[in-house]
Amino acid sequence: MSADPRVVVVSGGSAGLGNALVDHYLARGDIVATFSRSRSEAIERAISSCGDRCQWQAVDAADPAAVQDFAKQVLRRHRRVDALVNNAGVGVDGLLTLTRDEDIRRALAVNLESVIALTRTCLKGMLSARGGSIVNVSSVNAIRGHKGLSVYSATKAALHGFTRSLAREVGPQNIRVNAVAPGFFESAMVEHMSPAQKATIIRRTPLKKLATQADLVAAVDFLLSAPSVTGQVLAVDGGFSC
Amino acid sequence: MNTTEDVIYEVLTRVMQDEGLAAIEITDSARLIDDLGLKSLHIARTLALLELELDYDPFGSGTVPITGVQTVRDLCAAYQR
Repeated sequence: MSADPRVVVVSGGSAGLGNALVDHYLARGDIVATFSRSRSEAIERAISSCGDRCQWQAVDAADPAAVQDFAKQVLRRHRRVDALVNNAGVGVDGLLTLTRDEDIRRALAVNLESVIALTRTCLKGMLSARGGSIVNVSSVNAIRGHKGLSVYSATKAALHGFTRSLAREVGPQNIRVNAVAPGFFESAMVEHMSPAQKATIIRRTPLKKLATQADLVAAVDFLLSAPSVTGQVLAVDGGFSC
Repeated sequence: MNTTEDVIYEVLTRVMQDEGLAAIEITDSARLIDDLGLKSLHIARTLALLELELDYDPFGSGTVPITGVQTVRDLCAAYQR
């Protein structure tokens, strides 16, 4: 257990990869602040076992002002943020000409605008302490195109530009910014796939298997911790995009 | 109790010391960039520290344009509520 708890912000921490990251950093002894639209059983368990070290708030990631207010409350309470994982994201699946305006707006709001709003406020906590680390969760679909995912790909590819430019901007203050690009991994997002669809993905993956959630947590952890890595995108996809 | 101006001077002193800037006297009329030697990221850090200390950000809403802050006096004026 860490002797020096960090303040770690994870967006979208009630389920899936976000919750796995929340559990990981709580187990490390860190203070974890997270939000989601609703309080899941996983969050209840985390709060029950870790008390004040797990801080959760109901926030809709499609509301950048609410996301920013969440971050401001974290800063008021802790006066710093040591690490930020921009995990919250929403999928948009379908041919572009059949995609509704509201789905496009929501994807842009959750996957990009709220990421920027959350980062902007958390960065103040990092600037004040002259150090910190940010990992943006993008997607292999930001690296390679895929039919039916143009809007989703656009929002995730934007995170790559955001990552690189921000890394240059805040590097002088010892703040690192990186992105992890998950491929298809064992998660709720692939549960809806047919066995044939999964088999196709695995066939096209050099390592012939889907990544696991634990693989993603390890990759995020590496990027959050590696002292000389900044401005990089790490694809965790079994080689799918190589 | 420190006034807002005291806090601003303390934060500026701290940022300049942390950034290894020459021990230039901070006065009301000193220009942040040309006289104190602060770069844009140093100013961003200064404002971040002030927001933590004062729980107030006069620039976030756009009410006070950051481009209008040239001197220490301008900075103090921006934080007057």
